[in-house]
Parts: sequence; structure tokens; C-alpha cells
Amino acid sequence: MEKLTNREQLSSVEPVKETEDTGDVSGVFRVLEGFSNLSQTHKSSQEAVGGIITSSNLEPDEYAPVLKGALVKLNELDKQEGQIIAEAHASVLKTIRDWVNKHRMAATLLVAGALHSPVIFKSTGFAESIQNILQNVKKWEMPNMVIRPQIEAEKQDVINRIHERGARVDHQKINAYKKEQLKKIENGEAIKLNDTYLELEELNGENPEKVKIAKQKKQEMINKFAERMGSDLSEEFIESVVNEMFGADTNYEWGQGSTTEYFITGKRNCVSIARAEQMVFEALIDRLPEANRDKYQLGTAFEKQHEIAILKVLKPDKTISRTYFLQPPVNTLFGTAERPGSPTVDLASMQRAMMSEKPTKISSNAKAGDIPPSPDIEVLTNQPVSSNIEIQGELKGSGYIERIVKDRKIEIQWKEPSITDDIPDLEIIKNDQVHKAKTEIQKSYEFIEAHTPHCEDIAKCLDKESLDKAIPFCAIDLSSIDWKNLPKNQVKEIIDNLKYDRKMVKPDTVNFGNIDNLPQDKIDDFILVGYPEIQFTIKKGSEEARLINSILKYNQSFQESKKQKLSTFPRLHLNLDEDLPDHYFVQILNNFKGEELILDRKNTKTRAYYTDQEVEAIITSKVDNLYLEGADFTEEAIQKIINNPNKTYHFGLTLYLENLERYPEIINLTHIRPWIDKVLTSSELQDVIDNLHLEKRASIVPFLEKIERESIDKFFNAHR
Amino acid sequence: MRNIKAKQEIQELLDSLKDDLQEYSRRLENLGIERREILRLFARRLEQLEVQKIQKRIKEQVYGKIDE
Repeated sequence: MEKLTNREQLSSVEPVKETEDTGDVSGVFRVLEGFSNLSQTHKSSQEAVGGIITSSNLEPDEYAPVLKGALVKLNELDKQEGQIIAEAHASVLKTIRDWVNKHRMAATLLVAGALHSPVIFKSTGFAESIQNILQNVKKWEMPNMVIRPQIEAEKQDVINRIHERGARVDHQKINAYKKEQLKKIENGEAIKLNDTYLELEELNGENPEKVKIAKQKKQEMINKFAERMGSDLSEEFIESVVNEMFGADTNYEWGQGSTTEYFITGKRNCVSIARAEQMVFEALIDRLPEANRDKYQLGTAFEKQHEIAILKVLKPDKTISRTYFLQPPVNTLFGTAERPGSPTVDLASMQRAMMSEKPTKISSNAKAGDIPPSPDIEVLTNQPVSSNIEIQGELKGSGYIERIVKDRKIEIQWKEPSITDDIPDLEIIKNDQVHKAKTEIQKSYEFIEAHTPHCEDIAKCLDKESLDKAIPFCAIDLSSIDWKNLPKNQVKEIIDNLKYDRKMVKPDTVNFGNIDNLPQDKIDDFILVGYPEIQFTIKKGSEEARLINSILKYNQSFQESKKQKLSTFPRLHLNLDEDLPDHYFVQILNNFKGEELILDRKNTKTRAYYTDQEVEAIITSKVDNLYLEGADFTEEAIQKIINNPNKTYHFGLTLYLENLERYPEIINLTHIRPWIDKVLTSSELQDVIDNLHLEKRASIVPFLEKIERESIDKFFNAHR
Repeated sequence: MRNIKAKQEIQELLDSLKDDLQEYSRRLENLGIERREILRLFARRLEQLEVQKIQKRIKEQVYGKIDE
């Protein structure tokens, strides 16, 4: 029986011993080694058979039948064992792969730990597979990772610069300019980026002096390149222009600055350099002999939070011969090969998008899951002009950004997945909403504090001489908050911040913008914030009816129940989208009950007349004080209002002045009053005066001058 | 905080892998028992054959060659 004892030592599988791991990295590798060792078993049973035969004194023909029978059984077991091992390996690889995909940060630690743990791995296919899975966890490929290249002070600096630029923006001028350019495009006119882009930057608040210098520098740059260009664009020439324009990587600034700034300082971000290159190449192509011009097409390739100017070379049949990526090392793509996750837009389409009101939507050309995940860049950007292109689908991570991150040794950080983690605009991260809202709220209260005689923050208080006891018009503007994509807890955080009792006079109004996707209870919360006026924007879309119904439902329950926390319903200020169907206007007027309601159609492109149904709703409305703006009254309609003093009608200044010209007597009617909803400019005032009958001027001009003063007081610090 | 969370996640992986390893080891152990039994029977059978061979040789020495 001694032989049997030896044979028992050849047992195929050792039972797994419990290790005393503590959940650390080496514990994982010890268990993985256990899986790796599973494969060493069946070999020993073959050795056992050999050992048994050798130790016997039988001739092969004597044990052959017995051996045959045993081998059939053992082979069957080997087969089963192989299947179990394969299953075990497949299972563990799947477990690891799934886990790595789900927990990238932990996977990073695991990989890092593997470098220091006394492992273990022998070069078997299985072990290599595990190593491959883990080693492929490169930081760049991890979802829920962010690159935060800016410190808080830098962010604040960006905010300051945005405000500084924003103070110079004239939206009316921009809109007029864009309309004019769009008209040209629609008439088939090819507009040049060289003629428009720096103009757009200036309209968006770029310093005019700087723009002037930039135009000069741009021209010098074009002339310099043109001198060595020849009669066509050679590959060598294209590369030299790109490399020279880019300069060193130290010139790259995260999402900061304009093309104006690039031409003056050489500092660049992907947008500013792309536009600069497009302008330079556009001008160079224009200087080529006519026969060579048509074969070039400029455009932009998009990557995640990055863009690259491209130059396509077309064949005579207009198909693409090759595409140069105008970014070092100037990669070339031949033919019409697609880059999934990196769509391109030609320059003409981009210019149309830039001049259009609504964004141009394009597909990323990538199916879900095709693109390896890459980190988001959380950076506050300051770029004057938006390309107004919205990309739908996943975008591939940018190798260029990856290189900058690596070179600058910027730490990639892990963060909790959030529903606001959409692919953001180019180099713009939107997930800063709570901070943005709190800043707006804080700003308004600081403004009020500075205007109060007992102001405590000496640095911010106004001096006694300039201090007016009356607090001027003050609004909290939350209209730019992306309520649609904001998680519930963040909405609550903003509401709580608004409701926080600051023992101070509250700002006059809170503008929430568009909140149409929020549920009823949240809309109720918004109404209950406890401010004298609340503003909502109602846009034409899928949810506008629900929002209106929610507001009216709350208004009704407020009127019916006296248990509400507020003594009065706040003045409701509804900014109505220009395309909003008329029946909503009527529905609101017919159903809203309360002291004050503002219906503002200020955005109407061309002022239309209120319809008969609307006029009927206006005069029959149960609201005590009705504020109106955005459309005109026909003669018949204004007569109806004059004859129905059942409420006070507050006309926005544009509406009031138009009617004052036609019916000067309204200044004597107490139920029709001017609603100061904007600053009255001296040219507007002069227009009204010029249109008045001469005999009426003497009595009306002092009234108009009073309105002018009040409008200035209301909107520009009445205390000064 | 991130490291604590990551450690918890590594622990979850470890627990999951250990469970799997136990399960596959148990199944292989069962096969091992079968294999040992087959080997034991094989060895036993060879011993019996050896015994038979020895008995046959002794018989032949005593009784002369036996035709089977």
C-alpha cells in the first residue's frame, strides 16, 4: 500500500487555502495566482498513471486492457477539468474587465499596487490576459476622470476677464451684424472669414484697439507666408506655416483668449489658432493662381473638447484626395476615410452656423461604445465667438490635449459620475451651475448691502455722499443656469441658497429663465422662494404647456387656500418666446388671478399686433395690475383698453411711447401707465418728441424727461 | 476619500474573485476525487494482475504449465 500513499500525493487539486488578505492589492493577486494554478492539475494525473505502471511488474500486454479502461475515464475527467478551467479563466477575465470598466480609479490603484506586490505572475496565457486588461487601464482612457488645469484664482481671473469683456458687448449690434451676414450667405454670397471673424470678436467685447493691431499683424503674417508660397501649396510649405503659427507648446493656454490675442501675443487655444490658421490659409489660397484655388477646402475637425483646422485637397471630380490636419505634426488623411468620433465641418458651413441663431447640429459619426472613454476638461473658458455647432454623439479624446496634459504633468482626477457629464462645448464645462448660481445670488446681495446705510463690509460700502437710502433695481439673474441637466440635489441647493434668510432687503426680481422640464413640486418651490418678483421664460417646445399648467395650477391652489407660507403671490413675470402660440397667452390671462402679472414678449423680432382674442383676454383678465410688452395694439384695441379702466395696464416703454405718439391723452389716464422695463435712450426720446404734434410737445416733453430719468435711475444706480 | 472608496472597490473585487475561485476549486476538487478513485482502482487492478501473475507462476512451478 506504500505505492498508494505516493499516488495520493499526486492528488489533482489542492483545496484553496484562505489567505489572510485585508482587501489590499496583493490579496487580489494572490487569488489571481490561485486561478492561474488551476491549470497545473491534470498533468499530475498523467504522471500518476506513469508512476503506477512503472512501479508494477507487469508487461504492457498484461496491463493494456486495464490501462485502456482507466485512460478513457481519466481522459473524460481531463476534458471536464479543461472545461472548468477554461470557464474559470473566462469568468475571472470577465469579472476583472467589468470591474476595471466600472471602477477606473480603483483599477489604477490596483495596477500601481501590482508594481510593488511580490507577484506572482508566471507567463501563461491566462496571466498575460489579466495583465493586458490591467495594463490597458491608462489614465487617459478612464471615464469619470477630469483634467482640472486651473486653480481657483485662475478661474476667478477668467471670470473677471469675461465680465470685463461682457461689459463692452452690444447684443443688438451683434444680432444686426449676424443677420446682415446671414442674409448675404442666403443670397449665395461667399463671405470671407478674414472679413468677419475679427469683427465678431470686437462685437463680442474684444478691445477695439487690440483688434486693430491684430488685423495689422494678421496681414503681416499673410504677406510673409505669401512671399515664400509659390504658385501652389506644397506639403512642405503647409507644414512650415502650421509649425510657425503654432510655435512652442508653451503658447497653449487652456481655452483662453481670442484670435485677436493670438495675432498679437502668439498665445493660443485650439479655437483661436484654428480660426487664425483658417484666415491665413484662406488669404493664401486667394493669392494662388485661379486654376489652383478651387482644389482647396478649409474646415474644422472636432475632437472631444478640442478642434483642429483642416485643409482638404480635392480631386478634379471634387472627391477628397487628402486632408491635412493643421496642427503639429500635420497628420495627413488620404481619400475620404472617416475618423469616427472626429467629425469635420467645412468653413462655409461653420460661418453659416456662426451667423445663425440656432446651433447647427452634426453627428460625431461614432456609435455608442465605439469611442474609448476619455477625461473631461474642467476649465472656465473665455472665448468671444462661438462656432455655434452642436455635436451629437461621442467624440474621441484628443491626442494633442493628452500630450499637453502629460507634458505639464497635470494630474487627472477621479470624480463621481454625474448626469451633467454630457460632452461639453469646446473646452467649456457646464457643470459649474451651483457655483454660478450662488455667485449671482451673492453678487445681488452684495449690491444691496453696499447700498444700505448700515453697510458692514467697509471695502464694498458706498460712501455716505453717494449712498441713496433707496435701493435701486436689483435682479438675481439665474437665466443662464442649465436647469434641464441639473441633478435634483443641485436644484435644491440653489433654491435653499435663495431662501437663506440674510436679514436684508431682497432683490427686486429673480430671473430663473427656462425651467420647463422641472416637475410640479420644483416649480412650486421656485414660486415660493419669497422674492417680490419671479421671472420665467416660456419657450416653444415640448414642455411649455406643462409649465404653464403647473404655474396656473399653483396659482389656483394659492388663491383657494389661505394656508400658503406667503401672504401674497409674487409678481409673476413671464418672458414669452417669440414663437409661442397665441393660445398660451390667452390661457394665462384667462386663468391667472392675482395682483400683478407681467407678460413680456420683448424678444419678438418684428412687433406684431395683439390679436382680437388676446385683446379680449387682456381686458377681461382678473389681474389687478397687468404689465404688457412685445406687441402693438390696433386702433380698435387701444380704444377698448382706454374704455376699460377695470385694472391698471402697465405698458412697456416701447409700447407706451408708440401709443403716446398716437394717443397723447393717455398720459392723463391713471389706468394706463408706463412700465419702465428698459433704459430710455436719448435718440428714442428724440424720435418720440419729433413725432408728437407740435401743440402737444410742451405738455408731454417734461413727462418724457421724467420717464427718462426714472429709467436711468432704475437701471443705472439711482444713488449716483 | 478616493483611496478609501477605491480600497472598498478592490475589496469587492477580491471577495468576488475569492468566491469564484472557491466555486471552481470545489468543482475541480470533486473531479480530483474521481480521478484519485480511478487511479486507486487502476493501481488496485494492476496489483490484482500482479498477484494473479505471481499466483500463476507459483502454480506453474508446482503443477507445471497450465493451459488456460
